Amino acid sequence: MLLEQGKPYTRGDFHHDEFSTVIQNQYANTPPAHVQTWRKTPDAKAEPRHGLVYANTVGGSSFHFAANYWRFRPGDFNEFSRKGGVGGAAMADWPITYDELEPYYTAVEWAIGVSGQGGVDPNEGRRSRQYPMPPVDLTGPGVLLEVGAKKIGWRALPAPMAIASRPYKGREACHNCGFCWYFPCEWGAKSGTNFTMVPEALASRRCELRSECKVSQVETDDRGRVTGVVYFDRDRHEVRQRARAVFLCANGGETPRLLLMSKSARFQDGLANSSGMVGKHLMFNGNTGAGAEFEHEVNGYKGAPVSRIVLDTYDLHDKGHYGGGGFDFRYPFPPLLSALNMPPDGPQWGSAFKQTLQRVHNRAVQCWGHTTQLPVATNAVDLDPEAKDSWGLPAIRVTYKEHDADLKMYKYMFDRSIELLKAAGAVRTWGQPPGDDPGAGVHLLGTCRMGNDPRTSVVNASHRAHDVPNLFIVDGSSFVTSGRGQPTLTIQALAFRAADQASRMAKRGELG
Amino acid sequence: MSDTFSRRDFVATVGSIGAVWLLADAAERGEAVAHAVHQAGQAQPTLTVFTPEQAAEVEAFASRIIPSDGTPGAREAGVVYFIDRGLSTWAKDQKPQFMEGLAKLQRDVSGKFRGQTRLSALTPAQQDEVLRSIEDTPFFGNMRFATLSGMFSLPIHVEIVTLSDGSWWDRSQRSSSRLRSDGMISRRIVAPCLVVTHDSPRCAGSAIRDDRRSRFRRHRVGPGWWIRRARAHPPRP
Repeated sequence: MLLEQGKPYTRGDFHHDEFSTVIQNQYANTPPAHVQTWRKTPDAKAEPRHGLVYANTVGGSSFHFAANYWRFRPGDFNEFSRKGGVGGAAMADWPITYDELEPYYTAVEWAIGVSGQGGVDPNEGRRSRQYPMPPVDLTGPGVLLEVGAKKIGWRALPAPMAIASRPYKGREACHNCGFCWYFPCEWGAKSGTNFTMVPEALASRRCELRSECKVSQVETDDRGRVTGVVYFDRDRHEVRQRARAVFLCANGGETPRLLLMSKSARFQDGLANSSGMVGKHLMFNGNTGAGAEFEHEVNGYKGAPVSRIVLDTYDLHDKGHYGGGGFDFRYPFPPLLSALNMPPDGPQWGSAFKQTLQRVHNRAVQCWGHTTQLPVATNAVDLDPEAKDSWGLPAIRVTYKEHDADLKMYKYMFDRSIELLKAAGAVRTWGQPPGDDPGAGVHLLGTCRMGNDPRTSVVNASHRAHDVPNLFIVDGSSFVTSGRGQPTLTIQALAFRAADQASRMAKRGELG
Repeated sequence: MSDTFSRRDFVATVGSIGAVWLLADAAERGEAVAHAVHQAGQAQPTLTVFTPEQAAEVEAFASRIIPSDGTPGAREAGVVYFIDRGLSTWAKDQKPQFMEGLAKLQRDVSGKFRGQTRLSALTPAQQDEVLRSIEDTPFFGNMRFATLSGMFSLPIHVEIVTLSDGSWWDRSQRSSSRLRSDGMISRRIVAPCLVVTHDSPRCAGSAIRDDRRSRFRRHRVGPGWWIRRARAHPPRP
């Protein structure tokens, strides 16, 4: 039984309208139905803000993501023991290693279809099998990244992307139409779970999908075992669903919220929260963006959002930073956003603005830096004491402030972005490094971290809640550290691994 | 999305805009664009919220933001009808605020030019002078955002739209493309009024590097591709 609060969209529903898709974010958890509040520090009062953004659809955020599919490197799993901690952050090692996860990385890449080229990155982890498809087509910004990286002495690598570069499992290959980022793929070439795992599960006839069902409570019995969930169906009637085991995969924002809402006499601080860690250590992945104009037209709107990446900055410890990251060049914005984001020092209206728009739009490239964010205990998701969403459930309250070490690294990444753009031949650049308020986050990580010690973590290495033997939590919230910017493949590999282990437990009769 | 997302940029650029515009129902807004484009092509267009005098003011304002200087601008895109429809549907709540802004605009005009109360009666240079003096106000920010939204939104609920400049848009493809006489699809990059066409399936890479390195030759942009696509997505009723 698959319960999903989002809608089941089909290809006929997809369109390329930028206003509704990008600016209004129509596929996301937008207000007024979904309500969230945000504050910077635990002593402040939270104000309404659409802060944790995820796709509210069958298929989740892989429905409309840019499809970057980086693996973690082996060192991401034990950064704490390799590099030590950093003040103000609750760094810890993962309870699993890269080698334990590797078979599942490979399984995901082949199950959903990932395009890439293994073996060209000298620092990647061991790989048991090549990608099922060659990399996506080289794009204009990708070429410029190659030029810039070469000049600096770095190397641009073919980007691993969850986009089919060849026909794959009955789906079409990418047509290079360019509407990936923010948009759902009407060709089915983007390997989102709406086109891959969900249809496959339904075709097995052993899975039932109930969409537009909002779970409000996970129920438990006197023995402290999960007995099922209560949800609001499409017509907002309350329904009780019994279950032998429950998997929470509601993302790093909604999963802790659901646990905190599921209080009972036995679990007074929220379900599976004896450690007090539910909702703590929220991380988003840092990102920096620098814009540039080039002399010639770049045509970045054609093709995948990203075709080349630079990972020479993956480990910045020797540069005095904690963590690291990578870069890509991409088509900055579709037309409306582009018009709203013209270089800030130029004209913003009138004939001069129109000319700028005509000249800059197709000559612009955005350099994205994708980086670490440190786990900080006070950066957290909990329940707002007053605000309620349209189901009458307590709203998510986010408390978030960037760690100083992260801000220092954003500055470093931003400066390197400008360097890369200039090396690639940019005639002018703009932008600024991020400040200490991220505004919103789309990678929702760390809020039910995994670990071996029940006092400091929520789930064990098999994603089973320490406090509840038949409750599993499998999404970005299990992350112990944030990796380097692209978490989706790791979330999916963890899910494959958790499913594998849970089915073995079920066969042994351990799930009750 | 699962990829870094420029919320920071959104917050920075959208800043002063009433949230209501952002929350417009997609269907209502798509219809508003279709309505705008249709009305702009009519001899006697209809208005719901604005009086003809107010509409002239809004149009004068919008066409200074995107002027019709050699290529079509906000006037030809019918932005005023888009705003009119918006204020009568999804942004109803903003109508009083918007009307207040218009009234204030008259005072700004008479403050600058004695005896004048209408922006639309001024010369373009005089209009620019007035707008420059209110550039930092929320009303200007809202007008700019509404104008750009009207310009760059796609009429998602119509099949073929004839624009007032005689060109047309085929919405059955659900992409911002135009069919050109040479049979090639060219992506409409910057709205109908700022047409920048790209017929070459090559990317910048092919100009900079050996063409063999650029796999853009495999791009399926051509008549056959378009026909397949049209078949795959039959027009909506």
